[in-house]
Amino acid sequence: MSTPVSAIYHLVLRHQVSRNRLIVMAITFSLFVLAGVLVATNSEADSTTMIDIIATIGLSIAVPIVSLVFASAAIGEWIDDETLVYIWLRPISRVQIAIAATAACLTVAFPTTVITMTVAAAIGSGFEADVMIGAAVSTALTTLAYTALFVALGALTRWALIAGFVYIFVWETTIARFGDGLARLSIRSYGASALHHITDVTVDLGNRSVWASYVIPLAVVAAGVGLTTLILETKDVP
Amino acid sequence: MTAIPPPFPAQPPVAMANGPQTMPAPPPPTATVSASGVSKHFKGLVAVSDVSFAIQPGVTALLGPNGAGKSTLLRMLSGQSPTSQGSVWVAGGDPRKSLETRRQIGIVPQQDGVFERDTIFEFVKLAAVLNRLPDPEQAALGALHAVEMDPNLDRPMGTFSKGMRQRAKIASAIVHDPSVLFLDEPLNGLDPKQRRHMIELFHNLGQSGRTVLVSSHVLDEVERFGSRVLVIANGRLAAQGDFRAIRALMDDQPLRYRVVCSDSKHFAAHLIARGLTVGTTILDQYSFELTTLDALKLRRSLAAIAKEVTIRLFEVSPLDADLESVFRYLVGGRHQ
Repeated sequence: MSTPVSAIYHLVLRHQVSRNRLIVMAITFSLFVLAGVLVATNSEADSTTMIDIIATIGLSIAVPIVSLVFASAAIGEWIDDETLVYIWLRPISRVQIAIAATAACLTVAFPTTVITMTVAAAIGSGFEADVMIGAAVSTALTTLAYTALFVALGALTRWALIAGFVYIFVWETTIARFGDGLARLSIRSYGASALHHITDVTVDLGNRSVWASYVIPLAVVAAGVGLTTLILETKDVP
Repeated sequence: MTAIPPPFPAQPPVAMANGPQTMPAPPPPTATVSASGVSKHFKGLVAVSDVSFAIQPGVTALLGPNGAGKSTLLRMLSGQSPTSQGSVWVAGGDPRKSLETRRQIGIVPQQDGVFERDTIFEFVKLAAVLNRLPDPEQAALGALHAVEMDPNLDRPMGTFSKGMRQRAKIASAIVHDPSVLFLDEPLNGLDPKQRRHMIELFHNLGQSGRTVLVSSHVLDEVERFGSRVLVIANGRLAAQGDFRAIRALMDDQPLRYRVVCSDSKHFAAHLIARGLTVGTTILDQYSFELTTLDALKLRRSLAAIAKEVTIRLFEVSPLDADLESVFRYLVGGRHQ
């Protein structure tokens, strides 16, 4: 029998798949596979080049953008089309709605980012195991954290997509590089650090400790779900 | 099914045109929905101001012109929107805080938005699942049957007409057999046959012990919902009680009627001669407008006079019985 959480999960999932989002998925996959092929066919490039591409373009731009596109729409679309009331007014706790929405977004964001980066890493590195594992793990960690955060952003504001892009391009790719203290507040630095620890290749912002690389993204997931719950509890539902 | 509570006690109408209520009455013991000193402000704009009332099982109409604050009030009652001041009490709890209270509520929001990619059966079944009904499919079929919709309609709801969406929203609201229903302009977009059916459905729900609060800005609709009304204007509760009594309050005011008959001049002259009208305007050979100070007497005598003077009476329509006129009277007209 369907439970409320699984019903909401499937509802979000059904509405996640749209033509525009499929295009985002296809473009992301194609670009990174192309990057992998170019690295593999370039005699001056090696697996370090591929790791650099994943750390700089993958973790700081592609992963957060894909996460943003899916996650900001999960609850954000219900607010835009004023259907949140059909979920909100039911006798289910807000945390269940937050968990179901986040899980549904991860279901579509994960294959897009993790499979894409892993395939690109495999092609670009000539199927080196640590590069493939590093790409998969670092991408998974950052996708988790960004998705949970952007679900909350979608619940918070109708301008989530714009706010998310500003966050990605101003904070994650620019300000976070200005100092170690600021870098600690950058999600991608933890993914980059996981990539560094697994591949033993120095990458941009990859200087967090091993435990922080794994624990902080998971803590961000908990914080994102908690924030979404809080927003739903206090929201003026349209 | 819960036991049917005692019938709604007869209450005299209370007009509140002279300002906000200052002393909200405590809710009667049978009240299932009550508001106490409820206000809502939006960035300095007062949408609802100091509204207090208590309603019992049965159908109550929430009457008011567009922009009066009906939807805002319903949104606060359902818990969608927090109150700026005051408190609401629905089915024994605060709908914003209590899951059990939300279980008791069904709502038809005014907005058209539905899950556009879902079929109607998926939409209504989702409501059943979220309410943890033991057999969501069966509950969805029952609710769709109640609004006369085909559960096998295999089209996404995004392709539905406004009327179909409206019926889907009603099915979604009643699927879990709630004890309290908030319906915000639920007849919008429905054709006359569907309207009749829905009004009958709301009556049945009210008679079987549910508390049904239906908002509308159409006077004719409200009369068909039943006699109990809450009248809201400019964010304030303008009157509450028996609708017919509220309208009767207007009978001491000059009221205008349009009369269509076989000989307008002749008939108007007879009415003036009998002191039934204080002013007439002949529109054409067959129709005229009149103003009367005794609407009740006029309505009772018109047909008899027409028969007596052998004039065929085709139509008598009140020109001041529209909702705006009621509000002019309740909110400010009596002071003018």
